[in-house]
Amino acid sequence: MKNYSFLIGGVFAVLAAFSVSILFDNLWIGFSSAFGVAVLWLWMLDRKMVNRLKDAGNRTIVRVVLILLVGLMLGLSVVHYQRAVQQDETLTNIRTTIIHSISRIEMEKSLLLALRHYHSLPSEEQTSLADAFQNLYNERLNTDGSWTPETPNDDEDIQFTYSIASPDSVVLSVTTAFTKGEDPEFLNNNNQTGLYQARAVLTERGVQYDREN
Amino acid sequence: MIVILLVGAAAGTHYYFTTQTMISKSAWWNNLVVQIVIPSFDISQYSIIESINQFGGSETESAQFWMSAGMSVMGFLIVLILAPWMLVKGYLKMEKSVNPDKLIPVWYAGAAVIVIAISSNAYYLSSYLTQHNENKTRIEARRATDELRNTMMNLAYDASELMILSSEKDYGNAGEVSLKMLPSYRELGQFEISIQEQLGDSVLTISGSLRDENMASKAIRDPVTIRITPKKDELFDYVN
Repeated sequence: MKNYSFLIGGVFAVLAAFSVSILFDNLWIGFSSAFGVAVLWLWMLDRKMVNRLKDAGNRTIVRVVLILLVGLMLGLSVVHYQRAVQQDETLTNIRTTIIHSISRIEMEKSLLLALRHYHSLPSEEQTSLADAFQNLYNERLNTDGSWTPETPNDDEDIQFTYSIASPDSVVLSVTTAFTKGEDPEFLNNNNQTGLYQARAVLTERGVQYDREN
Repeated sequence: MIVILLVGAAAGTHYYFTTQTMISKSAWWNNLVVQIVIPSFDISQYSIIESINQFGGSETESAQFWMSAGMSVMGFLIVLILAPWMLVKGYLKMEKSVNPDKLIPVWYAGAAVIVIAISSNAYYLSSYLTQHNENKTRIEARRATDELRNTMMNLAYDASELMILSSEKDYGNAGEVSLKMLPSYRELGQFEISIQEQLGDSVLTISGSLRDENMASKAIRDPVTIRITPKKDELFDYVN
């Protein structure tokens, strides 16, 4: 009966340790604590039951088998964890690279075309960069300050805005809804944190693209 | 008896849900065994699904969370609690028995689970370790390729800007662009970048490749070539 209580105690201890993952909404935390508790329970099993085995050979077999089992499981768990982290990083990088390329095409290329348009005008028609920009992209400039991309996206992740800082300076900005940036603490223009954000500034000397996060 | 019923119920639930989704009926049994004897297997799968969902901006279903948590806990309980306890209990019974050669079912059940767990964990761990170096090289090659493409895009924007400004204003000669005139160009040990062709102020072709041939063979065999055409609306395009 004593042995059964010990078994049931182990079951509840592991269940309780794993339930930590619900608190943190992270399965790896629950997994680690459950693993730790299970190893502790195995040590207690050794003290309580394995020690009671009369045959030294049997004691050795049990200990070697359990150490091998725990060692292999620990090794594979570390590999699985590393792979999961690596996979997450890879997917995040791919997403950021895609967003970075799209926003450069939508902002930097558009501003370069505005610059080309401005310089191609005869000097008597050249008023300001802002005018050239507005003339060229009149249909894409919305009254709420948003900028309609050349290729509209359906996933609603990328939001473009424009601002005419001065007659000789136009700024296009991009903020994302879920694509991560470099700094997780960065406060984005849309009041979210840690997301990709960039801006492109057009002046007479060219276009400056700055990734802000 | 209770344990058998619990395992039977869990197996039935697992069979129902997994064969309804992605696991074929023939692979179900093997999949169930692997998920139980390798408790980190399901957590790893869940993490990957979560990352894929985050990539697309969607949330992972809570049912998936509970399923992975349930399978992992069941794995811990069977492999690290129940099976070792049964093994030791079996040994104790054997030693107390008047007939030491008598079969003790509890010992066999515990030993069978442990043998399957050790062999499965050893097999998967050795497979991962064998593939580790190959995967590492492939990931490095992919990162280098991404960096190369990014560098080429930076050069393309710089060259477009330079050629627009040079041809329209007195900022230099658009027909004679060199890499050193482009702000984002710097001598990069990893990459071999060169100007392939320039046709006046209308076309400039830049090519870039990875210097490390071993890495290039795992990533991109052909150089990345960009044709810059500042007089066209696309400004530049990838030749390959």
